[in-house]
Amino acid sequence: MNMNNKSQRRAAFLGLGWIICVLVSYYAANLDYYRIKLATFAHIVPFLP
Amino acid sequence: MSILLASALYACWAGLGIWPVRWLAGDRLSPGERLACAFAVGMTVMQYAIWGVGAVRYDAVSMAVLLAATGIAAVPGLIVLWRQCPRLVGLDDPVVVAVALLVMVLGVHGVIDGLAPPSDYDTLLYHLSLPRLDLELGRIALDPQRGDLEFFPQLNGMQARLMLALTGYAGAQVIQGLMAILAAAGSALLVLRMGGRSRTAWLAALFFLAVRTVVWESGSAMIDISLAAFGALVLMVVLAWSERPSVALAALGGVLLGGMMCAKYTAVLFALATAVALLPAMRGRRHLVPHLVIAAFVVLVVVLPYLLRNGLATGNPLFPMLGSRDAYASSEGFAASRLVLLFPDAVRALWKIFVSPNDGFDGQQFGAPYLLMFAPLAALCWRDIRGKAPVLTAFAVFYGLWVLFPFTFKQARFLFPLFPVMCALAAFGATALWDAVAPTRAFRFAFAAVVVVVAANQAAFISVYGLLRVPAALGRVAPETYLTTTPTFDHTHYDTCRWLETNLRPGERWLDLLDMPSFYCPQASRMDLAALGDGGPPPRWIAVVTAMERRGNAAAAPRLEAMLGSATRNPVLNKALSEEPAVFTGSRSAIYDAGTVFARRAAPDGRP
Repeated sequence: MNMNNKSQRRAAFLGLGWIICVLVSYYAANLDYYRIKLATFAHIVPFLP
Repeated sequence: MSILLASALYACWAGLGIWPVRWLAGDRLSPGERLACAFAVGMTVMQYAIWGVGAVRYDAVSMAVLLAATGIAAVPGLIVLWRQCPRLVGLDDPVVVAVALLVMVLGVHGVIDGLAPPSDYDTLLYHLSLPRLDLELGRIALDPQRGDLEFFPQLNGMQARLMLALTGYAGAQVIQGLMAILAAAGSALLVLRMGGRSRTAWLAALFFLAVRTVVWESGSAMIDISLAAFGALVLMVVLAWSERPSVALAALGGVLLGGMMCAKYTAVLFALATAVALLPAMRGRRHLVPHLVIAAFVVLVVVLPYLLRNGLATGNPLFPMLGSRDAYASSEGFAASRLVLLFPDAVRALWKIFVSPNDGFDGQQFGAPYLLMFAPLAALCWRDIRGKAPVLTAFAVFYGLWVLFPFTFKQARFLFPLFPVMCALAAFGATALWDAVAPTRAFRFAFAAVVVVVAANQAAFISVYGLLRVPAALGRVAPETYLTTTPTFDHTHYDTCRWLETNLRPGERWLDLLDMPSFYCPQASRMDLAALGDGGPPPRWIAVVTAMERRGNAAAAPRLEAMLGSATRNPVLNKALSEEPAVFTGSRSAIYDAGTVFARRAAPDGRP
């Protein structure tokens, strides 16, 4: 990737902003899912050897 | 033994496939690309060999003879491959070594998962139960009584039949684990063909193998992974053809597309997308039009046996596409999953399927949304990516057809042909973002923090599958324990099916009132309600689903919901069943004496 310092910092800022935005949106949308999954996993554990 | 024989089958594919690939591709493909294509071409050829032999005689002996004969025929090709063995790129880079180790762990994990007894819904329903039916009947043939599922093309189904006859279910599932490795290699080769570095290529392979639904399907007999493998190879050949067009290379693309259609008819949409993607390359080069015509002709030749079979049997070569006869296929519930998405829902779906997949889609098929996080960032190195126009056009057209066509399910796994492109773009994006953040310490820290969260999340998804499947795969947990006590494995009906296997005498039939056909039950002696009074012997036993486990509550606590006879939709028969004692009671289903039920409570057609 050929970029000067300024455009590199801008790319880093935008890129990090995007991945953090996606990640936060994902967990915000799936809080219930993960809460239930963790509870389910607690039920599954006794089935494991 | 299952892994050994599945590997032998792959060696046969490569040894048989390398000759047409060398002839058609010449030096237009790299040794690695030729090897990957050889697997796919050999698999395409092998399906018809299995079908041809199995149509006459299908048992362990005929399949062993076939495998031995093709093994001998493959030896010269394997010698050629050995002499021109492609080397793994980038292993002098410690980052690549670390990523390659993770790729290896995930690849081996997928293969070992396949040794566990089948528990996947579609695997039980038809990917293995139909091959088992053929095995019991002694030859590979259409049985229209089994409904539309019999008419799907059988690229993977034929390989599963060979392995089922030789090794049982394990080999039939292991070939999908190996297919995931081939698809990961296809993703990496696509990156290299697009001008990516070895680090980016390995990352694309890792991204593919870590997709949650890939991990799940690797340990099953589901067939979608082969669509990803073939899709990656088709796009790779398209790019090679765009750089140096040749009729032979176009024909190779046709063979791969034809093979892909033999796996699943979704490939018809992928073929349309590929054709559209090639149009810009044709501008001002009309002499290349015959290349496309020849490729289309080759596609037709490769898939012709299925078109003829289905056309002769039903009058519709693409059956069950464009005219299903299945009552369920025309039901409201079925139609709901075949929505047409229009703007802006079609665009929003690209976000939702990763970020809120439980809302309107089929759940967390991707797991953590790392593909959505990184793929758009490929824009950061846009100028360094070669061949992006045809690849992105194929992506956009296939996605457009997926959202618009009412006969494609809006399920993530129907996007499998696009997974390699997603993974390639995500790998480009991740490496480009790393290049951008590397000079600044704070940025590096933020990047690492996000990657750690995503990696831990995805590792948790993968580990759960491993924790459940690997002990059963390695024989540390008995199949009965594994299949009757693991949450969500309701559909296997393993204990009931085993009881039937033991107690059903030759010539007797059993009435299937389970929630769906199970691979573990005898297939040839199975009958459904519609077959009552068909002139054959009446059923000796009735297998009935009795309960399903539900966890849709705030604490996700297991609750058994009674559903005796829900599959009959027949109140008289249900009443009779509820008043008779079961002769066997399993974890989710039971066996009733059919003679007693019908003699005392209902006529054989279910009437009082």
